[in-house]
Formats: sequence, structure tokens, C-alpha cells
Amino acid sequence: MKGSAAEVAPAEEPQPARPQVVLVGNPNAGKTTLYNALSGSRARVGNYPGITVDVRAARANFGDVVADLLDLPGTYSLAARSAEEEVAVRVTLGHGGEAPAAAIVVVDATALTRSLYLALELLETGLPLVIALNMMDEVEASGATIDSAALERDLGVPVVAIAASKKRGLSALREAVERTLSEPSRPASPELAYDEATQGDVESVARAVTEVWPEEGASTRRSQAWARWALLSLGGDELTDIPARLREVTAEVRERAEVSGRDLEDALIAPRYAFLDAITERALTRGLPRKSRTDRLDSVLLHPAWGLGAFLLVMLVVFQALFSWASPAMDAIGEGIGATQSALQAWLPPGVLTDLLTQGIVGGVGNVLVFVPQIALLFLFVGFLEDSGYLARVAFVIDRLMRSVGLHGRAFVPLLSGFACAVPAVMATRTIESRKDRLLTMMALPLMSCSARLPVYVLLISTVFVANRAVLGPISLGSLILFGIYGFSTLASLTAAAVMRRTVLKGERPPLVMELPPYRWPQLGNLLRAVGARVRSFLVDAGTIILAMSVVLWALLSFPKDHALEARFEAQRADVSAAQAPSPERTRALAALDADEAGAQLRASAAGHFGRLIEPALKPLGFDWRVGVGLIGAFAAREVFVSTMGTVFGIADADETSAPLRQTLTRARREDGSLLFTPLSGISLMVFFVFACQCMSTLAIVRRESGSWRWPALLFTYMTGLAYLFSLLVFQIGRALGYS
Amino acid sequence: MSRRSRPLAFLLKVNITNDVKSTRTLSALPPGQKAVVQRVGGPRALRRRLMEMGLLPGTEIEVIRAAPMRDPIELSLRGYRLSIRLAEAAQVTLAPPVELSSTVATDDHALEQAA
Repeated sequence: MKGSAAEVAPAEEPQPARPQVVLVGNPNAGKTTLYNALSGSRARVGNYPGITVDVRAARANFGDVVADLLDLPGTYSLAARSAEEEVAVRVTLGHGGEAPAAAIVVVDATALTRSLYLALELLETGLPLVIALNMMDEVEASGATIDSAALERDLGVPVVAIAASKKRGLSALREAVERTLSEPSRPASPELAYDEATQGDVESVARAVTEVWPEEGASTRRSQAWARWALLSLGGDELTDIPARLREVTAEVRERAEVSGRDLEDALIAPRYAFLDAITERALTRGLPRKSRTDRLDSVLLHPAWGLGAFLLVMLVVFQALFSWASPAMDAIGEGIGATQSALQAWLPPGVLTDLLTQGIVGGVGNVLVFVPQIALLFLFVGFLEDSGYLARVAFVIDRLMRSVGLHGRAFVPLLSGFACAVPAVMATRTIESRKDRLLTMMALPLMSCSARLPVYVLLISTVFVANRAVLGPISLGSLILFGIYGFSTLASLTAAAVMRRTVLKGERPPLVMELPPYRWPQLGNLLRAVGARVRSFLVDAGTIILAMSVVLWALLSFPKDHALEARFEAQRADVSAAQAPSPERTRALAALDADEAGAQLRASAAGHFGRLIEPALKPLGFDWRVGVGLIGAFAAREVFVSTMGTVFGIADADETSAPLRQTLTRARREDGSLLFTPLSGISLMVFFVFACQCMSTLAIVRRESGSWRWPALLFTYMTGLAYLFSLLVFQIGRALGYS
Repeated sequence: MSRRSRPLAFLLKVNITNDVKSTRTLSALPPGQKAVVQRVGGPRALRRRLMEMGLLPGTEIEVIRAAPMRDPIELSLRGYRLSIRLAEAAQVTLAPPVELSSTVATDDHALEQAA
């Protein structure tokens, strides 16, 4: 556990000794709302080094004391398994770095005993605490009362009743934190009744803790807290940076306990709950049992029949939003980029630098910005679903289906979003708790046919088939093929998940133990901040990679320039201009020359050469080098395949519905004189697009979310491998059966 | 109940012992019924997680409902709602009922299991 808490703190100026206050609590306890209320608008997202877990930090005032407030990922206990929980533990316990001056534990007062468990674990470590008893408005509304003074007496730390969403109790909380910060003292140790044998185990491990982390051995209380943590957390975990010696000793002690028939989980956890049950008993007066709003909503939303209907309706809205509501903004971005490019081209002298700026850089910026509307919309929806409590129900409803392919119920929304675009969908995997589940979802969802593949399918279907021929009543051949492709891609994605669950991401499937929080109205401010943070993190972390790749790709498609070719076309243009008076025909002839030149230049470019180089590999799939160039161009974004084919075949401004491009493609022949685009090679190419990872943005975002290049490399390899294999099978089997 | 517990017996190759017929597990508790947890079994990660979430021996628990596709199930314990899969619920052994109200239900249950 090397990373230090200090790295997370904003580091623009040399830090004076500003105390650090961490905000910890269960998921759904209202931690984010409290963080936003305490920090004002100065929040900032930091990324914890090495793993992609966001830790937000901001300056906050507690009376006269200015402190750095850190918002940690929600966790139910300190026994860390996932990356999020590990971050929470590292920073809270300040291991390897500076320990925080104090922690605010946000406790969901509607689930008092369970939420206090985390507070108790922290109390055992000796960290100065303030307990914020949140959701007190809901407790009161249910007719219950909580005696916070009694809790304060029993726990020995300040307990402040608040309602963060209503900004109630915040000044009392600030005062309590200020007192804790200005008179630092260790809270009294809670008196927990661990049995003698367990205490012996804890002491054995505590000795190893002191050995490997001398600074933690300074106090017995702290080394024993670490020892209990190790006994519960180590073994079968995903934790990094744990000294081997500590692992060994912990494993030995656990084995000893097992042999003598002692249950360490029970022995360590039960005394804590016994203590908490006793203090809750004294502090909590329950109201009369009655049907809550959540119960009434759930009797519909989780109803065997209505529940599925509601689920489908909600998912339909999300899907529709991603698919169509984002397009006006995406079109506007495209137009804006186009306008900027032409303005710059008109204003700057022609030349390589101007081309680099307009086509390379401005075009690349467009490639990045075009994702923003979908990302913003998706996270608005995901945030709403999450904060309202429905996202947990989505997982509850669909888990049975998802589990059959080894995915978590929470993978459903990301997978569905994959139909629109893999980039926001990969970002949405963050709502999945375990890293393994998240990686699995990330690796499988790019196979869902995204909206960028649609123009390619449309072009190919209309080129090689009579797309509007009716086959089944009103259903046309084209839509039937398209439907087949979508079904096929979904099947491919789910199969890939099932296979990877058994191979590269093998391991014990994490159990589903998921809280179904009460329904609550999401706070608009929280939603917008979350959307802003996601968009910013996309622009900074993935956007820069996408931009760089765009420029490289542009260079590959534009260089080297063939100057002899340029001169020849210049001469032809001069001839045309000289021979004809200005007329529509002359303009057309000049435009045709421009398109021919673009095609010739592309053929002479690095990408053109590369296309020819890989042609022998593409031939068995039914493609030639021109398709190869298209595939290289499509790496910028799949729909670019269409315009690249337009350039290769000398058609200006082609899109998937343009008749000239379709006609040219229909007539295009291979070198041996056979037709290039037949139904068979068309299907082969569509199959290639179903599987191939023709998208640098997906690779960039997977790099960002997985934290290493290993996963995007694997993604690219397996998808391209499958694409090649299936195209080969389609074309060769088709040929063997006598299709052309 | 029995239609639920049977597919489970086949899913759980481990931890199914001979006495499975005589003990009640959480997976067999019908919606609307309460019971007290006697033992939490299963893999270590699951046991720790359940216990840390407050589901441990002695805890009173009620099954609220099953998901539309029958699995997972929703539980009420310690004033909050938790969902777990049936496979995991099968690892939770329930204490023999002592309250009068649930005795009748348990007799039914025993009959069904015997059948």
C-alpha cells in the first residue's frame, strides 16, 4: 500500500500544514450530498494513482479551521476487496502517507446499526471521528427518534444529527469537526468482547504488522486494528502492495483457527454487532410500522409483471435518449467543426501546416467532442437512476439473466448503452462494484453494434442487396438483414462475456449482496456535478489520447504526398480551366479532378501502401487493398469507412445514402476482373465490422478505465482476431457452397 | 418452496450435506415470513460480506419478495433492504421457529420438503 493520501490532495501550491479531513460512509448514505454542501463549489476530482478510482478533494471551512476535505468511495466496511474499498481504506487509515487529522463518518440513520459498523471499525483504529447522522428527516418522518446524545456517550465521539439534502445540522457538524481538529485527542477505545483465542490471533498478526510496517506498530491499538483488518481482508482479495510476510502470517493464523474449529469471521464481526445492537437499543425508538413510500413504489416497480414492464420502459427511454436525443448536439458539433475547418482553410495560406491544423488537429478535436453529448446524457440518466435508488432495482430485476453469461446485474445499463456508443458505455461500468465484473463488462460491450457501425451496414446492404425488396409483408430485405446483424452482435457480446468469465477473467464470481436503498429524489446539483466531472475526466484523460491518435491517423492517410501526381493534376486543372469558359460543366469537371486527385493521393499515402501490404491477408475474406484502406480510415471512427471509400473511389462528399458511391461500389472490380462487392463479400465485410475493434476511442477509454494498456491490447487482439476468423469462414464457406 | 430449493440443490455442489432436508435455509423461506438466522455458511468472502452487512447468527430477517424472474430475493433486516441470490440464501441456515405464528407455516414447509 504505497500510494499516499497526500498525492490525492490538490497540489498546485506548496501545502501549508492544512489538516486533512476524510469523508467516509456507506454507499447511498448521502456522502456526496454532504460533500457538496461542505465544500461549496470548489470541488475537484483527483484520480488515485494507479487505479481509476476518483477521489474528490476540496478546501472546506470548519469554523476558523481550513481543511482539505476528501470524498472517498462508499464502502460498508474496512475489509477491502475492490479497488474502491481499498482506496477508502488506504486514505482513511493514512497508511504509507500522512494519516488524516479526522474523519467524518456519514451514517444513514434509517439503517442505523449497519451504518455504524464502519464507524466502529474506524473507532477501533483510534482515528479522531465525527459521526454525521444523516437522513434524520426521513427518520423523523417515519415516526422514529434517535437520541444522538446517547450515541455520543456510548461511542465517545461527537454525533451530530443532520439532513444533508435539506442542509440541516451542517453548522453543528462544522463546529464538531472544528473542535475535533483543534483539540486532537484519540477517542476512547470501544469495549468490544473479542474472545480470548481470537485476541491471541489478533496479537500474533499485530506482531507481523509491526514488523512490516514499523510506523503502524507505534500504538498497540492501531497495530491490532490492522491485524483484525488483515484477518478479515487477506486471502482471495484483489489487494496490491501487501507485504508477503503479512500475508503469510495471516494465512498461518487463519489456518490454525480453522483447524481448531474456530470461525474467525464470526469471532471478529459478531462482537462488533453485539456492541452496536446494545447502543442502538438505547438510542433508537422505532415508530409504528407502516407502509413507506418505497414499499408502495416497489409493490409496482418490482411486481412480477408490472416490474418487468417498468424496467423495459425505463431502459427504452435511456436507449432512445442515447440514440436520438443526442444527435442534434452531435450534428451541431460536427457542423461547428466543419465550419471552423473551412474558415481556417480560407484564412490560412494553403500548405501542409494548414492541413495539419484543420484536418489533423481541428478534425481530431471534433472526434473527441462528438462523444460529449452521449456521455453527458448517459451520465445524467445513470446518475438519476443511481441516486433515486432505481439502478439497484435494475440489477435486482435483470440479475437472473445477466448471471447466466457471468455478468453482474449492474452490467445491463452499460451493455445496453453499447448499442449507442461504446465510449460512454465503458465509462458507465463504474457503477459495477467489483473490478473483475467491471473489466468483463468493458471487454464484452464493444461487440454490441454501436451507432457508428450503422452507416457502414446501410452502405453495404444497399450496395450488395436490393435493400427495399419486401420479403415478409411490410418488412424489407434490408431491415431484416440489419435486424439479423444486431441480434448476431448481441449474441456475440454475451458469448464473449461467458467465454472470458471462464478464461481470462476467471475466478470466484463475487456474490450479489446488494442494498436496495429507499427511493429518494435525486438532487439536481449532485447530478450536474457528476455529469461535469465525467465529461471533464473524459476530455482530459481519453480525449488527449483520441486527439493524438486522430493526428497520427490523418498523417498516415495524407503522407507521403506524391508531388509528381500533384503537378500532373495541377496541369490537368489548368487545361480544363483554359479550355472552357466558367460554366457548371467546368466546375463539375474540376470537382471530378479534385476527387480523382484525392483518391490518387490516398493510394500513394502510407495508409494506401499499408492497404496493399495487407491485401494478401484480406483476399481470403473477399476484400482488396481499397477495402483495407477503408478499414484503416475506419479506425478513427467506424463511420469514416464510408467517406474513406468515397475518397478511394474518387467520389466527393460521399455518405452512406449517396447513389454515386453505391453505383461505383457495385461496379468496382478486383484485379482479376471479378466484382469486388457481391452479396457474399458484403456479408463478409459486415461480419468483419460486427467483430472488429475499429475504434481508437474505445481503446482510449478502456485504457482510461482499466488503468493499463493491457486491456485495450487484449480487446483489440481478440476482437480483430474474431473479425478475421468469422469473415474468413463466411467468405470461404460461401464460396465453397457456390456463392460468389 | 420446493420448486425453488430443488434447482438450487443442483447448483450448489458444495456445502449440501445430508441434513439439508431437515434444516431450513433462507432460500426456502417464503415471502412475507420472518425467521432468525442460525448460521451463515458458504465461501469466506460471502460470509464476511453478509455478516458485515449485519446478517449474522441471531439476526431476525424477513423475505419481502423475489425478483420477477424469481431470483434474487429481497430481504428486510435491521431496518433496511438487502438483495441476495437464492444460491447465497441457501447458505444461510435458519433457527428452528419458536414463535407460534410461524410454526404453522413451518409445518407446511416441512411437508413440502418431505414430499
